[in-house]
Amino acid sequence: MPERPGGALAKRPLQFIWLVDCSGSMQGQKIETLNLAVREAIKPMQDTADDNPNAEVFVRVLKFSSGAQWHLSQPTEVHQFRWSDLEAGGSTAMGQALAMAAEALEVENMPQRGLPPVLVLVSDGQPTDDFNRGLKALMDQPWGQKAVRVAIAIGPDADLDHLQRFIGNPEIKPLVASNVQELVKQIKWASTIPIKAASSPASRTRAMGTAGIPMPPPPESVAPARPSDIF
Amino acid sequence: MPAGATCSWRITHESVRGAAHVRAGLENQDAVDARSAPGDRPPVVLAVADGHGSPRSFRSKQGANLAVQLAVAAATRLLEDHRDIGPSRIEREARDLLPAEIVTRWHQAVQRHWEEHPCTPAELAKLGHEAAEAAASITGEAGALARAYGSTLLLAGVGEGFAFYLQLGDGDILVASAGAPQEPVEVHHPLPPDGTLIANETTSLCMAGAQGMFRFHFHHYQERPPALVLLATDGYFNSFRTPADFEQVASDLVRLIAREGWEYVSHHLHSWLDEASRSGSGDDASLGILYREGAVDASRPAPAGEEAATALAARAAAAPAAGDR
Repeated sequence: MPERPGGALAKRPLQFIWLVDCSGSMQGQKIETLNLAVREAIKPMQDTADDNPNAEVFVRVLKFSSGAQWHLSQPTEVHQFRWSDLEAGGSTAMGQALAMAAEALEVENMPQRGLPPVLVLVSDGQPTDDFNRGLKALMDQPWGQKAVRVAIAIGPDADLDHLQRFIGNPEIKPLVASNVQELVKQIKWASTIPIKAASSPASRTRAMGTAGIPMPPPPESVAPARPSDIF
Repeated sequence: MPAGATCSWRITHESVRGAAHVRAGLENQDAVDARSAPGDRPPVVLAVADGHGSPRSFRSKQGANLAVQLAVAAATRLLEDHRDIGPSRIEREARDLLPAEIVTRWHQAVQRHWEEHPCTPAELAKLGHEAAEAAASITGEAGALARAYGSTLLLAGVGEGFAFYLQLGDGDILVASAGAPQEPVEVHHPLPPDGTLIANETTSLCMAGAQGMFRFHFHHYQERPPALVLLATDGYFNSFRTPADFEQVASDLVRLIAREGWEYVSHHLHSWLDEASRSGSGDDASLGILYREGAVDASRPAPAGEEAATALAARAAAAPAAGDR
């Protein structure tokens, strides 16, 4: 084999961050379903990463209730990623979660050759802290601005307006999970499709923004299997 | 006689379809072009370009081809027309006039290409939903046509005693200087980095005001003309683990030319790009190389002990204080 010029070759890193609402209203069926759904979505997530072999996917998890904390702070390669169940209780510090995500995406923490990060925000209610400040912090970061951002609204009380502002792309709406089956399906979609989209080597100009990262339409609605499955 | 005036320059370039594009059934969106005077003498011009490759830029392969052809022609004209004029005038025109000329001619060429090759039903059928929508909006949406052909552009021009570098968008240019045989090869970026070009976002020929977005550097070289100039699309440099791993390409190429000869490098370039894309970014990868004949002594010994160290010279301009470039 002829000697190749240059140093080590490597896949491009892709940072995937879950931001999950663990407020009191998530107690019971919602948080149980979410825990199950994410656990079931790990294999499809790994398969998606395998289908995009030039991307190296790293997963982290932020949880927010009365404050925001890292549930998994160390970027974990997707094939090593394991889900430990979240518990619910408290208020909805969504703004603080966005601010913490912003810190993680600061330029000095990110490799210049990285792929667009993926942020998935899951919530069933309204933020109870300074959402605007958190969103500004996120969007003030170049990597936050260029991230693929999707959101899942659980149940009828979720604030779609805030989730839409987080997404920041009028062509992508928050996914709405009205029942257990829809949440499972949407968690799976959010675990896989944005990774595939962000893994594309296609370039875009600033004017295109994340609208320049094509994403297929979200999954169709699913009827509840039982009335008790409705959130 | 300026240093490098009687030099001849070897040129080689290759472009490979990215591993991700092979999987997706997409064409190579990169383009490369070069030109030199007879006898491989100055003026020597090299250009690489990277078409965006997104659904809305469904003609970006053609856009990249047009970009390199026009840029090489324009730069060659500038250097040939001003052969007897001092480098200061060339510097002024290359900096102040060449970008605008390239952008203007590119837009004209894009318009002409679209008129001569409108989207056929067969082409539309091959495009995905989003690309077909973009094609349908060409006449109704300002900027849609240029965006359909969107591309970056990197350009190097070498004259007698000078070289200039122009860049719009992502990708990278490296210059290697070789001194005495025992001295390490110095590698530097002649252009200031653009810290905004991350996460696959780029500036482009299709953007309004693109002529004002070029980065430019003019180098009068006296005693130490460059040994090697390297132009790469981002699919290549994104394949390396760190910026230093990519910068090592330039010093390694100088060493390989000294040890194995120019033809060895030219012969293996395609396989190196292919390996980089497969193991690295997955994107189309293109590399153009200008090598000053005789810049390295074939008898240049390997330095004692470890592999030749690469000394990075100071950057041409202040870089942002980021952990990575």
